[in-house]
Amino acid sequence: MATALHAASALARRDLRAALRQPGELLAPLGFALVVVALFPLGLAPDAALLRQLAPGLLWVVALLASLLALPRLFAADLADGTLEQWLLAPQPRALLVLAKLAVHWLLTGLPLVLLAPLLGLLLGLEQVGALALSLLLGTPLLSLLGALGAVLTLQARAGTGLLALLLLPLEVPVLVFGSAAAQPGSGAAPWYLLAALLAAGLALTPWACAAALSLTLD
Amino acid sequence: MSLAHTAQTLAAPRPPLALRGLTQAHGERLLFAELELLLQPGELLWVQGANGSGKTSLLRLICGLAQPWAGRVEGVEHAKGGLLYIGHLPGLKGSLSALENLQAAAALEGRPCDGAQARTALAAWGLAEQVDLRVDQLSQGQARRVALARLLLPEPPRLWVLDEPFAALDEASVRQLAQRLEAHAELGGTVVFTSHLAPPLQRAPRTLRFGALSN
Amino acid sequence: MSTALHPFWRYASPPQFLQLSGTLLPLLWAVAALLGLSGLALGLFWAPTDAQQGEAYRILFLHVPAAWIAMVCYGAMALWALLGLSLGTHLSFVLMRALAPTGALFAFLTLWTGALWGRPTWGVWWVWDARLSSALLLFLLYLGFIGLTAAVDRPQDPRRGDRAGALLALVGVLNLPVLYFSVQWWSTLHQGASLSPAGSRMAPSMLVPLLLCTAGLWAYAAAAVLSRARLLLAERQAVQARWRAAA
Repeated sequence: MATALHAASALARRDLRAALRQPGELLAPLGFALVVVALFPLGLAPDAALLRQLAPGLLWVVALLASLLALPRLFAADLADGTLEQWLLAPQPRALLVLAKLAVHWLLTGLPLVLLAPLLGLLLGLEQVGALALSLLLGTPLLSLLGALGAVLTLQARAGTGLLALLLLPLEVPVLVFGSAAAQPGSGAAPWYLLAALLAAGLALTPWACAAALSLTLD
Repeated sequence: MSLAHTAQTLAAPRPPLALRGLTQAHGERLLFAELELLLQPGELLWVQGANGSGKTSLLRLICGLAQPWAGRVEGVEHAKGGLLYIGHLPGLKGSLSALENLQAAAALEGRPCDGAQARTALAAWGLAEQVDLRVDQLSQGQARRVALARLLLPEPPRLWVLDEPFAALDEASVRQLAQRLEAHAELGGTVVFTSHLAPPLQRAPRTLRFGALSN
Repeated sequence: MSTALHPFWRYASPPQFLQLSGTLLPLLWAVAALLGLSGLALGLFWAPTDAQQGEAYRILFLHVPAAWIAMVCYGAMALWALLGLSLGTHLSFVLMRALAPTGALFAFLTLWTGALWGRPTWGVWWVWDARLSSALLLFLLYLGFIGLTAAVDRPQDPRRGDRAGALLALVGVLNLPVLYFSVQWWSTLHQGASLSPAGSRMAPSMLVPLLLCTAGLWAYAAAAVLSRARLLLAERQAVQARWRAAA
C-alpha cells in the first residue's frame, strides 16, 4: 500500500510539475468562462434584474462548458508522449493512479473556476455568490470525474470536442440540475444533499470505471 | 544451447513466457495467426520483420496493451518486478528534466531510486551533463537513452520488452546496451526486443521472423 | 466456452443466430404489418373522440409505445453490452449496435409525436416538462452512442468501437435513473407545464387500438433490430473470411 501511495503521489507530482511549467494551457478555460459570461448581457439585455435571476443557472452552464474545454488534455497528452501506457503498465492499482491524475486535473482546472465564480457572479449582478461558489466546489469535482470517463472513451476517437460534448452533457444533467438549484438563493437543503450524494457516488465509482475503460479501449 | 545455459534454465523458478495460438489483425490486414512460442527465463528473443509486419503489435500484446483476435499470452507478471516496457515513444514528460522523469518512472514501478542512483544510471549512458535539462531540450537519441536508463536502476523487473532499443544510438551505446541485455539474461531475466540491425550479442539470440521461428 | 452450458447459449454462436433470426423475421414483419395497420385503423377511425382533448389525443397510439420502446431498447443495449464485455462474444456486441439506430428512431418518434400532440392541445410545439425533457436526453444518449462507436472504430475492425460503446451504454444505463429523477425533481421545482397524458382514463375502445399499435410497433422494432444484426454479422464474417483466405 505504501508503494502504491508513493507511486500515486509521484504521478500526481509529475503531472503537476509538467502542467505548471506550461501555464498557458491552464488559463484557456478561465478566459473562455469570462468571455461567455460577457456574451450573455450582450446577447440578452443589460437588464440587471433579469441577469441576476438567470445568473446561477447561466454560470453553471458556463462551468460545464469550460470544464469540457479542459478535458481532452487529461489523457491525450499522456497518450501522445507514451506516458499513458507506462503508468497503465505500472504494478499499482490503476483506480488509485486515475484518482491521483483526476485530483491534479481538478486542482488545475476546477478549483480556479470555483475561485473565479464569485467574480463572474458579480458581473451578472448576483449577490449571494457564496452559495454559487460552494455549489461549484461540490460540482466541479463531479464534472472532472464524469469528464474523465468521457475523455477515456473518446481518447482514440477521430472526432473532436463536439463528440465529447454530445457524450458528456446529457450525463452531466443531474449535476447541472442540482448544482444550479443549490446556487439559487432560497432553495433549501435538498439540492445540497443530492449534490453531495452524487459526489460521493462519483468518487467511489468513477476512478474504477475509468481504469477499466482505459484497459479496454487502449488497443 | 550450451550446458551452462540449460542448467540455468532448469534452476530458474519462473514460468516461461508462452504465446499460444496468438492471432492478431490490424484493421483489415491479418498480421500473424496461430503463433506459438515458449521463451524460458534467461533467453533473448529478437523479433525481426519488415516495417508494419506486426513486430510492435506482438510486443504490445505481450505487455497486455492490446487484445489479440485469438489466442493468449501466458507467463507475464503484472506485479512489481514483472515487466518493463520501452516502446517507440520514450514515455517521458517533455517539460520535466531527465532526472525528474527517471525518478517518477521508478516510483511508478515501485523501485527504489534516490538522486544518486538516478544520476549514476544516466551517467552510464553518457548523459551526466544532461541530467537536469528538460527532456524536450534533448536530442531524440538522448531522450531514448534517458528512457533506457530505467534498465540500469536497482531492482530491474524480470521481463524486458523493448521496441527498437538500438535505434538512434551510437556504436558505443549499442555495444553497451547489448552487454546490458546479456547481463540481464545471465541473471535469469528474459528480453524480447525488435531491431532492424543485428545486435552485437556474444551469444546468438533466438529469433522470430514472422512466418518462421529459428533458434 | 464449454458446451455444457444451457442450450440457450447456443444462440450465441452466429450460425445458430442466423438460423433463428431467419425463421423469425418474416413472422415479425407480418405481425408488425398486420397489428400495426389494424391498430392504426382502429385508432384513427373507430376509437371515440376524447371528451377533453378532441381528436388530437389519437397521437398517443404512437407516442406511448414509442416512448416505451425507446427506453427498453436502451436497457437491452446495456444488457448486450454487459454480456459482450463479460463473455467476449461478438454476437452480443452486434446486437448492441443493432439496437442503437432503432432505439434512436423511436426516441425521435417520441419527441415528434409529443410535439404534434402538444401543438393542437396546448398551443406550443414544445414544452420543457419532465417527460419530454427526459425523452430528449434519451435521444441524445442514443446519438452519443452512435457517434462514439462510429468515431472510435478502426476501419474493418469493430472491436475498439464495440468496447467503447459497451462502456458508454453501461454508464448511460446507470445514469438513466439518476437522469430521470433529476429531471423530474427539476420539473416539480419549477412547476412547469405538464404534457402528461396519463391523466386521462382509458376507455376500452381506446385500449384496443393502443394494444394493437403497441404490439405492432414492438414487432417492427424487433424485426428491424434483427435484420440489422444479420447485416452487421455478415460484414464481420466477410472480413474474417478475407483474413483466412490471406493467411
